[in-house]
Amino acid sequence: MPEIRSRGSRSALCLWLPTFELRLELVRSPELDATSVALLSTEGGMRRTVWQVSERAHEAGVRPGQLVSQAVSLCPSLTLLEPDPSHYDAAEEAMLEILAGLTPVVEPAGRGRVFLGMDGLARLYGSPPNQIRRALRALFPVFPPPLVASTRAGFAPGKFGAWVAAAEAGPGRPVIVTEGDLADFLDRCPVSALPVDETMIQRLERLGIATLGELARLPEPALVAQFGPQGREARAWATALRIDPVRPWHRPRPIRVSLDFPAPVGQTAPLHGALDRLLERALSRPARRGRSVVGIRLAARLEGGGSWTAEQILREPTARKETLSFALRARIALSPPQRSVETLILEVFQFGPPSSQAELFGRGQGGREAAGRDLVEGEVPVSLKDAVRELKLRLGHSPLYRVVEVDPWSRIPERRHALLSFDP
Amino acid sequence: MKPVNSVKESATRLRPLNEPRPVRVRTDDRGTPLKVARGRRTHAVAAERERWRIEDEWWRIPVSRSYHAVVLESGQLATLYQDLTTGRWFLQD
Repeated sequence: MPEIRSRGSRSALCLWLPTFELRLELVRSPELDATSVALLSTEGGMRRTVWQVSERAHEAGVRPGQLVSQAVSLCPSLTLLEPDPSHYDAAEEAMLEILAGLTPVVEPAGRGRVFLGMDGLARLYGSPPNQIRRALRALFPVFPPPLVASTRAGFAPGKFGAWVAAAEAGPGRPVIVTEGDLADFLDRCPVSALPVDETMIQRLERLGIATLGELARLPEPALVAQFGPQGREARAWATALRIDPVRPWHRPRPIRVSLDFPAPVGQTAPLHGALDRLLERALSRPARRGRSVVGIRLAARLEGGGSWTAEQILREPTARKETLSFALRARIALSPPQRSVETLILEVFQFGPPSSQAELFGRGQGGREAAGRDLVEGEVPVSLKDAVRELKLRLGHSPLYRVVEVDPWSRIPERRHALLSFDP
Repeated sequence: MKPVNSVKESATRLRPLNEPRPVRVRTDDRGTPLKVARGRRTHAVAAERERWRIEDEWWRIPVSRSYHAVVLESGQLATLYQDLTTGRWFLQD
């Protein structure tokens, strides 16, 4: 049987921006750059914790995971920033998009960390130091120079080696590890670099095993006995026997629809209404047809800055608006936006096969009404769709609108209903 | 490619319905509308049917309005309000 070679690139370049989200906030508010700043965790609730801290705040004793009250008592001049997940995701996406122009093998590994497959690029870009320079230079159109300058770069065979090299690197000081030097390089690195459970790292440290070299010198059966399959994997990484290639990242282009409210909305009912409108629009997009939805994200830009996000991975793929709406409404109830919402954004980012029998057969030309059946709620007659298409051809846009409830119980009359462009 | 600090997708904007339209109103000493003018046309007010106040959104941009439901001389019903923060009058259905 012929050997099936795994696809991917053995030469890996890891680009890493530590505290990516906080750095993005400092790009937006450069006046805070040299001050004590902490980014709050995305979880709402009464007991908010600190997620990321600036160097100044760290010097004052503020640490990630601390309660806000603790952090403020340690550093009274601390500036607290609300997280803006939509902004971070957009920045991450922009980074991946631009790096995909450099190499076809791009694999994201969490926000602010990305692996690039560099096999076969020496002829194009030159030696590894030149390849790193090219990769960093590619980031200038999306990130300002201070952010690019603080990016850590590690070049090594396999993702693990490249990640450890990036963690060892400093701003403007990349670390390049060759094939022959990998085992020696890993030998002195801390076990905390291993991509295993935190509990395993803690146990290793309690046992006095601080470096990958110390781990590599232990017999494999002993590690398997203590840690199970993770012990074997950890040893394979530590001894440079396991080289994980960078794999190209396949992701269908997400469907994104959004809605700006005329005035910020704080109540749940208008959010539910807007969610349903967004679902209708997202599900009717030609890019969605023939596919069901598996992963869906609802995000909001909040009044006074910051954003909110809720993500839902469905157990069963579906293309039913009611099912998707129910799941996202439950997420809103569990963790509602912290402040009033200015813009609601819906993103379908993971797709599945067609899920319903009805879709398999499709509707004939003429639709239900032509067949003498009643339209189901929300269904648009084919005749109306045709009329809108003709008007769009003639005018360049759909001149039809539908009236939607925004905040029907508002005391301010112009807040109760709104017009939404009708474009089936 | 957009720089990171300008990453923002375009959103569909909901167009508010029943937006207030500015009018010119002459009132008596008690603040009751007597005449309503919009463009070149002026209508006399025959009767005031009801009046009420709205005070809302003090935490954002305060909304402070004095509403007057009136009957115009032509028999037409109209709802007017005075924005108490600016003193300007508006017509709203």
